[in-house]
Amino acid sequence: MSRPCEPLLSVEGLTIKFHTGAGTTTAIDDLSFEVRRGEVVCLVGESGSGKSVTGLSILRLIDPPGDVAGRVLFAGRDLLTESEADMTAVRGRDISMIFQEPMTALNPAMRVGDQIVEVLRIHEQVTPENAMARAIALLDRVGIQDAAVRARAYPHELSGGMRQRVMIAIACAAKPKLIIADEPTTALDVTVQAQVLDLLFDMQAELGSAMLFITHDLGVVAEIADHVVVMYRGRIVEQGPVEQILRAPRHAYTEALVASAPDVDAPRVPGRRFPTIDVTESADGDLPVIRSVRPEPVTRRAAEPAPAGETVPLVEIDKLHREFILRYSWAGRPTDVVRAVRGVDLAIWPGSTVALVGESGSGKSTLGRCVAHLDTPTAGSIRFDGRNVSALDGAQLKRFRRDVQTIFQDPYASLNPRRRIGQSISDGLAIHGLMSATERRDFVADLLRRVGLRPEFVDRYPHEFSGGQRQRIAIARALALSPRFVIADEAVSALDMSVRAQVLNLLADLQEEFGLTFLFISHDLSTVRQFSDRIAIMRRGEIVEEGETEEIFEDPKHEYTRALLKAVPRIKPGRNAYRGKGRKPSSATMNE
Amino acid sequence: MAPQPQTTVARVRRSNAAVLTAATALGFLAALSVSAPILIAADPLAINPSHVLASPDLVHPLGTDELGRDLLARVVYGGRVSLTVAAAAVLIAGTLGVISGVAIAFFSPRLESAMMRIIDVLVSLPEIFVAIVVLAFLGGSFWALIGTIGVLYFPQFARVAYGMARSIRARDHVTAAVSLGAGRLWLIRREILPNMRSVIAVQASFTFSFAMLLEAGLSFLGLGVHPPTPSWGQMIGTLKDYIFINPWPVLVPSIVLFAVVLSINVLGDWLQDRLNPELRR
Repeated sequence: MSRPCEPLLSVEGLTIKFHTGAGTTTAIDDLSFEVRRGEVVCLVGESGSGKSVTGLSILRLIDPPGDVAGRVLFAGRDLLTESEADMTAVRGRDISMIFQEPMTALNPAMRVGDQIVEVLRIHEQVTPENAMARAIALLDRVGIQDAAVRARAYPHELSGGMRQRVMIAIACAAKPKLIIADEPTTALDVTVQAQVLDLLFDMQAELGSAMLFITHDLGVVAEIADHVVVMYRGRIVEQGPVEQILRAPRHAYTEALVASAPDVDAPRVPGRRFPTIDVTESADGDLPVIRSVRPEPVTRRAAEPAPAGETVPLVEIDKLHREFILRYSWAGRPTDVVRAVRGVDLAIWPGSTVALVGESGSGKSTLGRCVAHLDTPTAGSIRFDGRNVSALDGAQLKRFRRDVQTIFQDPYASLNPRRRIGQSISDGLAIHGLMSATERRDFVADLLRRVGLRPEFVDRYPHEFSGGQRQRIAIARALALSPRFVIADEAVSALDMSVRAQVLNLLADLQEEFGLTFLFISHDLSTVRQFSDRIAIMRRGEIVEEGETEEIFEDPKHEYTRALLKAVPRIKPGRNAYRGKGRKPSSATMNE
Repeated sequence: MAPQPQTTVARVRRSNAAVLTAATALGFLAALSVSAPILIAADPLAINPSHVLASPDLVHPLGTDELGRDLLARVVYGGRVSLTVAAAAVLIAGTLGVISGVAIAFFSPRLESAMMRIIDVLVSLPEIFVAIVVLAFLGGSFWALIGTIGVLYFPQFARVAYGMARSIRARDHVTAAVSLGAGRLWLIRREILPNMRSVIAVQASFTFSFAMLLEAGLSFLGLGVHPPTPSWGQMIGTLKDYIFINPWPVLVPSIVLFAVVLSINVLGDWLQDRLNPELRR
C-alpha cells in the first residue's frame, strides 16, 4: 500500500478550540493526516464534524475566539508559525480554496474576469492586458463559452454551474500545489455536478496539484478519492485508501456511514426501511458508541393500492400552468415572463407516494405550492377529493387546510423562532378550534413521542434543537390535524444521511399507520427509488416522464431521465469515473 | 461550526459594563423624577434674586439659574417633562406606525405602493421645520408637543413595520401557518408581530432619543412647554445667554441631556441582542 512520494501537506496534532463566555468548545481534537503530491484526499463527515474548520485552518483563516494548536507543515514550513505576510503569499499561489456556494464566495460587485486578473496580479508581475488575456484563456479552459464576453459578466449573471467554473478558474489561476475544495458541488444539480467534477479533475491533472476535497457524499468520494479521512465530532475515526474505507471499514461509524449511503442501483423493495446510525452517548465524554442499524424486515404493506377502477385519485392535476410576470412594459404589457409550470397532468392515488423529481428551477416546488393552494395557477385545474381547489372558500377551504399539509425543506426557516414548539405544533388545532387547552397539551406530548422526541420538549424554542429534530417537529405540526395528503418539499434534503434515514423511516411508518398520501418533491434519485411508488420527472416546467418507480429506473424512456440517472455518483467501487484520467492511478485501484 | 454566534455572545458580554452603567443612570433619573416632590426639598419655581447663576454650594447642590432658582430641582422637574414627552411621543409614533405599516402590507394589495410613497414623503419632511410650523399654529404646550412629535415620527415606524411584515410573510413558518388554515389576524398576531419585536424595540429606543432632542430643540426655540415650567431644552436655551458670566449653569441640563440620550442608545443596542431568543440563555 505505497502512497506516492513524500507528503506535500502534513497536519500534525491539529487542535482547534473556541473560547467564549460560555466556556470552551473543542471543534477539532488532535487531528493528523497527510496529503501527498498529486493525490486526492477526501475529508468525510456529517455536518458539525469539523471538516470545514479543518480546511480553513490550513490557510489560517480561523478568526478569534478560535484557538489553533498543532502543526500544519506545507512543503516543510509550519504554516501556523509563518508571518501574516508570508501567509498572504501562500494563499492563492501555493494553496487555493474553492467554496461550496460560489455566489457568496465570488465578489458580487466585480466582473468575473477582473476577479481572475486580481489573483494573477497579486502573485505575479504581469501587465493588466496580459493578465486579462490569461483570465480569458482560463475561462475558456474551464469550459465557459464566449469567454471574452463572459469575462465582463457579474457573478449574478451566470448560472450556478458557471459560477463554480469561475471559482475553479480563480483557484487554478496561480497554479497552486494544493487545492482545498469545500463541498464544491453540493449546491449544484446532479448533472452539473458531474460536469464540474470532471473539470476539477482535468485541471488538477493538468497542474499536477494535490487536492483536499471536503464532502459528506460517499458517492463522490468513491469516484474521486485516493485516500479518505473520516471525521466524527472533531476527531478522525478512521483513515485509509478509498477501497479499504468503502469496502472494509474498520470503525463502526465508517461502517454505519457506508451502510446508510443510498444506492441508486439497488432495486426498490416496497416497505423496506432505510439503515440508520445508532448513537449511544458515553458518560465519560469520550466518543459515543456507534453502530449501524441494518434495515429491519419489511413492516409495511408489500403492495401499493393499484389505481383500479373502483378508486378515484385523491389529487388530479389537469393541464396546470403557472406563469410569473417579472417585468411590464410602459404600456402595462408583460415583457418578461417565466413559465414555471407548463401544462402538467398528474394523478395521485390515495395511500400512495408520488415523487416529483427534477433539478433546481424545474418548477417542482411551484407545482407543490399550487397543489397546497399556497399559490394560484395561471391556468388549468387541481381537484382534491373531487373538488376544484381554486374554487374553495369558507368552510370548504378550512376543511382543505386540515386535509392537506406541507413539510418544507429548511427546518431552520419553517418554525416560528418566537414560539415554543408546543405552541407551533398545536397551532393547527387552535386555528380550527379543536380540543381544549389541556387536551391539546396531552395530544402534542403524544405527537412528540410519536416522532421520536421527548414530551418535555414542548416548552422549548426551535433554536434549542438540531436540524433533524426540527424537521421532526415540523412533521409533528403537519400531522397534528390528521391530514390525508402531505406535500414534502425537499423535506429531507437539508439533513445528514443518518438523520435523513430516520426521518424517512418515520414518514413511512406514519403513512402505514394513518394511510397518508404523499407528494414527495426531491432532486435525490437514490432516496426516491426506495421511498416512492411512482415517479414523475420534471424538466423546465413539464413532466417528461411518469410511471412506476422501478419502470423508470430499469427502463427510462426519456433521454433526460437517462442523463439524470447516469449523473448520480455511485458508491459501488469499480465505477470510479475519474481514475486514470490523465493522472497516475493509485496503487489501490491497480490492485483491483 | 460557525463561529459567528459565539462572537456575538462574547460581544454582548463585553459590553455589559456599559449597559449596566446606562441602565443605572436611567433608572436613577427615572426614580428621581417620579419621587421628585418627596426627595427634592427646593421649589423649582422659587426665585431668589440675590443668588443668581451660582456654582454648586451646600444649599444648591447644582447651583442656581439666572433667576436664582435651584438647578437640581429644575433639572429633575424638567426631566419629568422631557422624559414624559419623549415616551408618550414614541408610544404614539410606534402604535400608529406599526398598525399602519402592517395594515398596508396585509390589507391593501392594490394601494400598497401608493400608500408607501405617501409614507416616504412624510419621512422625508424636515422634522424640526414642520414641528416649528405646526407648533406656531397650535401654540407650544405639553400635549401639543407630544402629539406633534408622535405624528412626526410615525412614518419611520410605518416604513420599518411594512418592510418587516413583507419579509416575515415570505418565510416558511408563515406559509406553514397559512397551510394550517390561519387567517390574517392570526398571522399578524402570532407570526408577524412577535418576529418584528426586536426591530421595533430598537427603532423605539432610537426614536426616543430623537424625540428628546427634538423636544429640547423646540423648547430651546421657545416652542415647548410654557415657562416657568422647566424642560431641559428650554433651560439650555435660556442659560446659554449667560455662558460668559458663569458657564456652569448651562452645562447642567446639557450634560444630563447628553447622558440620557447616550444611555438610551446603549440600551437600544443591548435590547436588539437581548430580544433575539437565539442569543438568550
